[in-house]
Formats: sequence, structure tokens, C-alpha cells
Amino acid sequence: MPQYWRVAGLSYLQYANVCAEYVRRVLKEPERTKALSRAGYSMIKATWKDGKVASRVTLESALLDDPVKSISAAAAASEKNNS
Amino acid sequence: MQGVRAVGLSSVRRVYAAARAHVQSSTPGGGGGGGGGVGNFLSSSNEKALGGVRFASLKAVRNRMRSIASIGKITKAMKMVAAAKLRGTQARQDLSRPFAASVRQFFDLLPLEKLGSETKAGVAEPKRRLLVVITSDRGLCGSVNTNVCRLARQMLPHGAASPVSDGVETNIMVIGDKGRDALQRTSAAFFTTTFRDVFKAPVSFPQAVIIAEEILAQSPDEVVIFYNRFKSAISQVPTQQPLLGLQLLMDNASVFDGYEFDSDMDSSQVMVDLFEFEVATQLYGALLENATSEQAARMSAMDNASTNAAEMLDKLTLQYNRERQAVITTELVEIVAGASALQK
Repeated sequence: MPQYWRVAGLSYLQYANVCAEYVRRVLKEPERTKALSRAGYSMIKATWKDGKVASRVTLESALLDDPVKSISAAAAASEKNNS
Repeated sequence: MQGVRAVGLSSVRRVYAAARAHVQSSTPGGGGGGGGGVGNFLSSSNEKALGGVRFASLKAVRNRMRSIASIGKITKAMKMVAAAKLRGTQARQDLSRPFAASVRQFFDLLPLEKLGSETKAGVAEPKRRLLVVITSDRGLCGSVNTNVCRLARQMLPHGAASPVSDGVETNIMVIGDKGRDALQRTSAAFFTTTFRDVFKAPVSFPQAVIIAEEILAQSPDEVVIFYNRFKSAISQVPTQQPLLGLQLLMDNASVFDGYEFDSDMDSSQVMVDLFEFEVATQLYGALLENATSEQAARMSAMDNASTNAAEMLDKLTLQYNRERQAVITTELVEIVAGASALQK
């Protein structure tokens, strides 16, 4: 039987990421803020085609503010990659 | 009356003021240039004296000194910032090392070199190779970025304009603006993805995961990560680290038979998961190494720059003082000569 998160369309890394985010959220206060600040990021991804920039997206940790949204977004991303 | 005005000034200035009164009273039209010059030297706000060519170089030297002093201050501050950041990234790197090491140990069972040569001969379809070049977003950090780009360029098919050549498809993923700028001119056709602002905040594992996902999405047969290995604060080694693709890993899964997989799932799934984790941890390790190297290189580069600025400032100060002295001497000689001419 495959794992339930694999059925949901997540890869192991995405699954680990979402789990880690949950663990950070349930920590008690002094550690919670520390752990959350460690995990923050904001970067820009550019996709290239034929030597030109085809598209640009900003990737932010803010996406993880809504865990449900983040899971479905991750699943959609991996689906797009697989197809 | 002229003499009364000069009372209270410093002795040198009193001499100047008296002499100026002398010259102006004796030759009303002609003495303006010289007298104005003295005024310009003492207070630069005197607009009339801009024609004082004699002091142009003095003024230029003074401007130059001012700009070098402020550049020196900036480089010194940058050095301090880099040193503080270096401590932070180094601590992070030390903490993350055991994670990467344990996974690496497991995958080191694969005889990497042997596998590489076998696949080149045997596989018919284009081998996909992904070069992940890790550089910084900001410059002023010595040659770390140039070194990594040079190393990466050596892996590119020689003189080829398109990604597919000799049955190998080579793609480049660049992390950091500096590497993008350096490789864009010659090899933009090889680019698939570029990242920027990765090092803006301290590198985090979720971030490495996002980039690793991007690498895995391109399903390469081989990944080569280029980064600067942090040897010490004064030595950073440009390094290339190959990672095997999933397909090759699965073909050679028999080398892991010594391990027993403690899982309800079939072991091939576990291998896939482990492989993903391996890519992410190796990438995370490389990102941290490069971030540390960048700060270390910036620290030593800015240290050198500050030393150079101080040296330059010393030289210019000497030159400035010499010239100032020369000007004063000339003025005095002129005044004395003028005064003695009048006495006769």
C-alpha cells in the first residue's frame, strides 16, 4: 500500500516540508517564533526558454501560512511536473 | 585702519592681512589675483578667487582624500558586516553537516565513476545532465563567483550553441545573479531556471527543498552542483559535486542489498524518497558552503580594500601637506619681496 501523501500527489520532499511546518507551528512560544523565523524565505524563480526569460515567479514562505492551500498548491505543482 | 581689522587673527593670518593691505593700497588693480589667492586658501568661500590656478591641484587632492576616506569607511563597515554574517552562516553550516554526511555515506556505496562511463556507451537516448551553479547575488566578494563559473563552463560542450550535443543534453540552473550575468553572455541557450534572492535571508531547508523539487522536476540523469567549498576564512575551493540521477540509482539498487528497509512500503519507493532527500540535503549543504565562502571572501576582499584605502590616504596626506607648505612658502616669499620693494 502506498503512503497516503503519495496518493494525494505529494512528493516526499513536499510532504516533509509540510510536516516540518506543522511541527514548527505547534511548538511552545519562545521556540515557535525562533523556528518560524529560521524557515522564512522569499526568492524569485525565472524560467528560461531559448536563452530568454519566459516567466518569473516569486516563491515565498508566506504560502505556508495556510497549510491546506500549501498542500493543494504542492500537489498541483507536482502534477504539472509529472504531466 | 587696515591693521585694526587684523587684530585678533592668528599671527600667520595677520601677516597675510597686513601684506594684502599693503599690496592693495599700492597697486589697486593689479594685486587682486595674488591677494584673492590668499583669501581662497584661508576661506574657500571667497568666490572671486576661483581663478587661483595655483591651488587647483591642492583642491583636487583634498577632494580625492575625502572620497578615499569615505570609501575606506564603507569597505571597513562591509568587512564588519561580512564578519558578523560569516559567524552566523558558519554556525548554521556546522549544525547541518551531520544530516548531509549520513545520507552521503549511504549513497557513497555507488561506484560513481564506473557508472558514469558505462552509461555513456550504453544508453541511446540523450543523457540529460543538469549543472547547478551556485553563486551570490552581490559582488565585492573577491573571485568566488568567477571561479565557480569558470569551473561550470569547462563542463559545457565545447563551442556548442544548443543544449543537445554528442547525445548529451546539458542544461544549466543558476542560483544567484552573479552567475547568471557571467554565464548569460555565452551560454544563455543552456539555461532552464535561475533563482535570485536565495541568500537574502539565511538559507533554510524549506528553500533548499523548493530548489531540489525544481531539479527533480527536470528529471536529469546526472546533476552536477558547482559551489565554493569553505575550507577556511582565507581559502575557498571551487568544487563540483556530481549526483546520480534516479534512473541510474534504481538500475544499481543491488549495491544496497546489505541494508534492510524497515518500512511497510516496498523498498523501491523508499529509494525514491531517499534519493529526493539526498538531492535536497546535498543542495542545502552546497548552498550553505557557498554562503559561508561568499562572506569569508567578502571579508578578506574588504579587508584588503580598507588597507589599500588607508595606504592611499597616507600618501595623499603627505602630498597634500607638502603642497600646502609649498604654497605658504611661495606666498611668504612674495609678500616679503613685495614689502621690501616698497621700502626702497
